[in-house]
Amino acid sequence: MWNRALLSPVLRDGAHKVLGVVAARANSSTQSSTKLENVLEPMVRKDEKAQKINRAMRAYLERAQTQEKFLSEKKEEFELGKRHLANIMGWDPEEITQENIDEAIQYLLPSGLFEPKARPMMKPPEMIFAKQKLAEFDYTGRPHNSLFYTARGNFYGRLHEAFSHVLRLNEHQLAMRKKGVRTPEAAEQFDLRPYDWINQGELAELCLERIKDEHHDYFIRSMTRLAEHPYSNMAREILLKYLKPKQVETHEQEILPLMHDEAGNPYMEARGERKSLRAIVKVTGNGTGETLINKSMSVDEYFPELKDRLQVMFPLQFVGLLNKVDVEATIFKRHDEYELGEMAKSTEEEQKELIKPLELRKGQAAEAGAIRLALSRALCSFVTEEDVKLMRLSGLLTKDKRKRERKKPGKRGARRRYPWRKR
Amino acid sequence: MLRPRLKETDRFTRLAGSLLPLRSRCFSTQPAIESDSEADGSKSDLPKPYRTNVDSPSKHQRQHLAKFYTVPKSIERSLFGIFQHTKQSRQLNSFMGEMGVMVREPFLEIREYIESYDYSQPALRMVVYGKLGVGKSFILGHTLHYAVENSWLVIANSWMPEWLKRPKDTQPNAEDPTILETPVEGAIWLQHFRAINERLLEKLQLKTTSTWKFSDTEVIAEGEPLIKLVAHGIDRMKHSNQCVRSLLHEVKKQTNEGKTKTMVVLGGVNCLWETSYVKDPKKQFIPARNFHLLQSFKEILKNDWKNASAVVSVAAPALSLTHRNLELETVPSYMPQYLLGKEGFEFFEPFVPIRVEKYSDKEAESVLEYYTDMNFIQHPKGRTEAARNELKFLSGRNPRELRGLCGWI
Repeated sequence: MWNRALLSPVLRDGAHKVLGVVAARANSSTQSSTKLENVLEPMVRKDEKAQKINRAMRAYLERAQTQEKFLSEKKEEFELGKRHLANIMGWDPEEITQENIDEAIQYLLPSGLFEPKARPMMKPPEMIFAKQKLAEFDYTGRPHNSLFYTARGNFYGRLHEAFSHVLRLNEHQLAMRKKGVRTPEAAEQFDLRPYDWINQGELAELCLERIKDEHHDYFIRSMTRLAEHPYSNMAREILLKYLKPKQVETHEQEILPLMHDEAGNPYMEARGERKSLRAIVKVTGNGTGETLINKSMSVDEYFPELKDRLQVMFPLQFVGLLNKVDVEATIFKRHDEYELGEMAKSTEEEQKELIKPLELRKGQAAEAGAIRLALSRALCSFVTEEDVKLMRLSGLLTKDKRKRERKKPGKRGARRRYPWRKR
Repeated sequence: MLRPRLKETDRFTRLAGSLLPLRSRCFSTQPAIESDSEADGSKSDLPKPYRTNVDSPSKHQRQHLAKFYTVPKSIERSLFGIFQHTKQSRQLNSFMGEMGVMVREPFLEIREYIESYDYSQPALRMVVYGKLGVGKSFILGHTLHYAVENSWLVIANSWMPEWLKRPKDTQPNAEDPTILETPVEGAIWLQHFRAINERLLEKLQLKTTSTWKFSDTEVIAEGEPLIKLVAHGIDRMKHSNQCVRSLLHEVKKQTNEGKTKTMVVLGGVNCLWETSYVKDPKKQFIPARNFHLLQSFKEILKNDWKNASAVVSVAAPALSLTHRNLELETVPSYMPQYLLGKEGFEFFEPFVPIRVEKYSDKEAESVLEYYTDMNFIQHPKGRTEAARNELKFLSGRNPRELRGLCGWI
């Protein structure tokens, strides 16, 4: 065993430094490159019996040194590259930000790859290379954390912390009861409603450990138990560490005011998408339920199948404007470069080319879906805000994000395999 | 309990012998009795808002628009047993226990032309056109009813393509083998002609104006009654097509002389410029111009005669769609210019185009009221305002679509 009392003052100082740093890191759970340099100091020491470094520690230190060297090299490269990039773009190299860099990379190396992570990128090395866990043991190889052998020391440490709070709250509850407070006030309990628990990835990042599904579940259960304690407001600080404000995912659609045509009838235009199609729908008030699709056919002629007509009818029926407004729809094949502004620019002949050929009676469900979405959006201007809320709840204003899945090599379609026969 | 009562009704005896399957007969019994008892009590009184008691097409006025009139039983059995509408329409009539026909704008237009025309001029020709299922045939039927009522000599067929597309039997002409005869169709049509015009022919006592020789022994001499010519075609089926030709020739000649006035009512005439699905010995499809029967009818559609009017319809299903590589839904246009083609359009010019539109809002309301009242729409919610709006939207107020949808409710 390594006796601390035998250490020479200088070396003892160095060792304390290391231990101090390690302790500080265990608390902060973050890594910082400036402090690591201090860690490396004890490497150059006299070879004494008491100061012999454990093998694990030595391996760790070597690893840390290599990593540090590697990172500093990368950092230099990045700084140089940044200046070079600024030079190319004609920007001031001192004032270039990460956003500018991303913009420049996207401009210089455009990529059509689907996955954003696979596209070319230029980021500081800390953001690209994974963080490494700090040494969890001292020179003799003895772990600092009593929970080290659970393999998830930080994780279980946090659980311990939570449970100690539970015990403290229980004691407090008892004390209050003795005082005669049997039912605490509602304000004493922490209000979980505006928050969400952190997810598995975020928890793993906090603990710097591998967290499995069951661990995350267990953690959330324990924390919920703490939060549901009648006096949980006392443990507010610890709870807030694992909570984040609830994100409300409502993309509020801007409801435009109605426009009026020459005859004074109100009308509104909107667009909708489904699969590879886009629809532009014009709804005119004071109508009789006339429908015109692609300037040629009514709904019953365009859609031979009843289910597609029902799709188009649903928004009108929902807001009670069936047979009270006229609907005019145009269906386009989706072109990414095609935008509404271009529609105004393009000539009539070009517009005709964009219109889907009528002899193709395929993909009618998608056409109906695109019209339904566009129609719902246009109808928002005709109804009250209450009705718009109901429309949103019923899913009329929600875009159907499903798309055709690409064919995979070695498969007959997206998933279907070629038939396999035993030879 | 129901049986003895049902047997008494005239309606059920007709239904029992009809083409309908048993299930549909069961369906049609109840409303039939109800409407009967109602009609007895209240027919002379106020009719329902969707109905009119005026059952004579000559007396239909603008105030009767969008209202149904019931075709009298005698006419329904005699005339419309021959000039048949589609199977679905006949089925619906059986459900209803009556033949209800809506008074619509195009009929009044046609009647106005017929009544105001100067018949010293060449024959008046009107071409009824419109989208699929908007009621062209019913306009023809209504016109036919009008013609029969007003003692016109009638030459009628509800669906011409039947002779072109699915002839029951074919044989080459004795004189010209390139020409194809369809004897069965010819004989059937002669029977129909005789049945429709029986009374009128008796009254007019028309005689042949020339000698018609069918073989060495079979000759119809000049001055014999015209009805004999018809009878010969029916008896000797082999000569039916020649008989049709000579009959139409005689009718045309004598109408031109002013002995009678003639109305031609034909459905789907654009098939006259199409190609059949029958092959000749060289394995080529035979065009319609080589069909003997169709040739004769083409003659009668010309406007080189007087005292006559022709009301014909052009329709997409009359085209030989397989030859054109089309389907019924993908026919590009329903206009006469497309359906008749260049040749056909020039043949008909000058003509009066009569456009049949889908139901107006008033008409749709009326027909839904009719369907509901006759229990064709049986669902309790089918009577609500919301359901009606829905039906109107889903069918696009197309009569055929609307009938199809209501059949499920």
